Amino acid sequence: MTDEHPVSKSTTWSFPTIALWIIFPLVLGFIGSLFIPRPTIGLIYLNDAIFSSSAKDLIQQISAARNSNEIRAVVLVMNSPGGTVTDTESVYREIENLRQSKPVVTVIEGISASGGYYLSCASDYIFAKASSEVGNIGVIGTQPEKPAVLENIYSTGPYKMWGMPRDSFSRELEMLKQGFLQAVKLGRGNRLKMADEVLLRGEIYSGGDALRLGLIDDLGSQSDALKKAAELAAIRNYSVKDMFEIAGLKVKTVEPMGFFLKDKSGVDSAYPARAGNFMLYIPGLGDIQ
Amino acid sequence: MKISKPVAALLSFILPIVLTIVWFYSGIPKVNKSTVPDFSSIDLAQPPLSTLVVLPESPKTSITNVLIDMKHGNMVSLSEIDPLLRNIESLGGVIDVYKEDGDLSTRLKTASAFLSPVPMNSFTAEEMKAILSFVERGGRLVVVTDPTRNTLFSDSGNIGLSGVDTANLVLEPFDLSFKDDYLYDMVENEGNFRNIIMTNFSTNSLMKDVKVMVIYGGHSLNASGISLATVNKGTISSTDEQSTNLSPMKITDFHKGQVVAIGDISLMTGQYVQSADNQVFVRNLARFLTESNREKTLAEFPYLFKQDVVIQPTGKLKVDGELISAISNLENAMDVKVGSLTISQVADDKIDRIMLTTFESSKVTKAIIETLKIDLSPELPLNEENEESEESTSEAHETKTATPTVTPSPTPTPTVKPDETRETEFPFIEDDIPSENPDEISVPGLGIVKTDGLGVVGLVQENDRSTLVIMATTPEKIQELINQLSTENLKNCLIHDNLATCRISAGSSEPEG
Repeated sequence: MTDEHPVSKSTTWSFPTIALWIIFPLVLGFIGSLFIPRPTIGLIYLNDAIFSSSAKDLIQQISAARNSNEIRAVVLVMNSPGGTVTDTESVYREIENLRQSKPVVTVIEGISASGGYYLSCASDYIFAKASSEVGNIGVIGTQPEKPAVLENIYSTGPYKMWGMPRDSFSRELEMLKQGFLQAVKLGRGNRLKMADEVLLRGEIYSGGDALRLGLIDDLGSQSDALKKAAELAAIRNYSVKDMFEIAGLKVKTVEPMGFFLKDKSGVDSAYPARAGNFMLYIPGLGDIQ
Repeated sequence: MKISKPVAALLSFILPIVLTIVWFYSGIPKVNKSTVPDFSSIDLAQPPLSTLVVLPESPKTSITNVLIDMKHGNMVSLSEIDPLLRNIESLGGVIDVYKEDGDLSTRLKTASAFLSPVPMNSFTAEEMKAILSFVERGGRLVVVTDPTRNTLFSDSGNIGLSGVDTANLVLEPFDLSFKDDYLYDMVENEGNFRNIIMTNFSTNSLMKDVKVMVIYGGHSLNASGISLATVNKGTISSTDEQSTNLSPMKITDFHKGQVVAIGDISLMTGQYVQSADNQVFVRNLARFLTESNREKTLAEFPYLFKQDVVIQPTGKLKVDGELISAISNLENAMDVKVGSLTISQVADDKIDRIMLTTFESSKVTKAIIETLKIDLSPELPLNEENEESEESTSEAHETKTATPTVTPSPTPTPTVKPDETRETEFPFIEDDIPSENPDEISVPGLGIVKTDGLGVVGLVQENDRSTLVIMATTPEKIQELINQLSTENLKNCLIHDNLATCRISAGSSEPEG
């Protein structure tokens, strides 16, 4: 004699039932997973001095990275001698904003000097090559003209034309230097192994020395920087995209008007063609003066 | 295990999503809190307060000329060092600029001090010789360099001139030299690493009342010389990154003169002179340049007098048109102030004088002649008769007892008592009968010489005045000698310290044309 237990309706898995309760939700789940952002590491190249045009491009790329759900981390590929103080500071603050939500890793290719290093300090991790040039912390500027009055030009105050007293200029430069020092110390923290007065000598170090002194975190390439960025962003199977395209930029700045000095043979050098304060490394500036 | 249909549906829905997340994400990203520099917290030290200096009134002392070099591509303008110039003038100094006109040796004859600020172009051998001689005679030399003005540039770039090299060539005889460096202090500075603060000073009068100084970019000096100021402990030289007793300003004595080397011109410019005690130092430097009591030597002829001069004829000399004409020529040559030259038989002991006399000793001239160590009646040796033989004459000179051939320096000593000259009358006092004009006299450095066609010019420095003695055999020869001195200075003369023995050229007193 066989006892027959009644089969519950709910446990009856006929194909229509499976299709309705398993496959259909699975498809829906698969479709839903497509809406999950695929992690991407954005590459921002700075292969130029930092001046108004290049800073504008950089800020646009940083903003795009911050606003993108896909971009989970940013690698800043740095090859810059620095630039104007204001443009450097603008980019620095944008990187700091980005860093609140997404890790930023810098990889120094040829040079990250002065303003370039200022930007590097805003990142979470810094790679360089052993032969890279790193450092040159400090500010340079041209003293304002000695105040004078002119026959045909009237102004409403003694510094309307000349900006500031010469003494104020040196104080301003000193203030910017102290700000730079703060930026380095905030960025590097206890990884820095240099006394302030040594740091502020403005020396430029090789990547090897910079590692020893705590100016960078490791020697490595762009792929090492991508791995580190992925690690910090806690992502894997990521893709890599150039932020220049993502930011909708079309043409790279090819002619930075009013910044570079063109010598007699037509060669541009990273010498500011206008007065002002600069976080800029200018080898052989004295020869040009 | 029984799974209800809704649960199965939910799990089926979540599974691809979870798998996707796990595939791409490994955890929570590490993000840091943003921190940016706080510029409002940066507290910058303000420059040290300036010491208020009230410029002193012009003293009633003799005028001193300060010759300022502007001929050697000096990388500073007179207007830039105006604070120093104003102090010099307020102390009674006269600014004399050496630019394109005249040779340096002539210009230095009238100067008490020579300032060469930031010279770039090399000094010639003659100029360096003149400077050396000037310092030997008691002149004061100040050479200033500046690392911010150390190289001349042209449109085509550096033309390779270094201020340090130029300055060091000038300073070489005095054993002073600048380092081609700059001083800096990364910790305790005045607003910039190159603006060093100094608090260690010597007791030299140049540093009187100076407690704090700021050097706005300065060279250090090498070891020799006396440091006027020593940098603070943390100050470093750029060349060797060392900090050991560095000094940007030194002084050294050289014969009768003094040499000061300063490695920064900025501190005496309008922009920086008001920092700390810089202007106290500038005032002291101005005093150093102006208070030089350099005794004029005969090498300075004809620029021996700056103020009133009395021409004092003695003996048989009479004032006539010829003599006045000759004196007028001499006045022009001496470049004294018009109207400052007078002829008088009474010579105040405070006023410089030019004494005109024959070789006849008189009461008036006796003391001066003795001071100059001129022997108007030398004792002749026994074998002096053989005058035709030059050999025997030279031997005779060596055997003279009155005047040795090689005489010690007859540096004049103030042995002339003013009272002796105060009573001088013109043309001469009755009881002051001069001796006969000797045929031969003994002159220091020369021995016995014949007086025929001979002129002697001597300079005697007394406490408060200088006396220039012009001697010849006759009044006519004196006039000729004066004319000769007016036109040719001491060209035909053999100078031995403060005594010149001259050959009076025939007809030199004849009027031109």
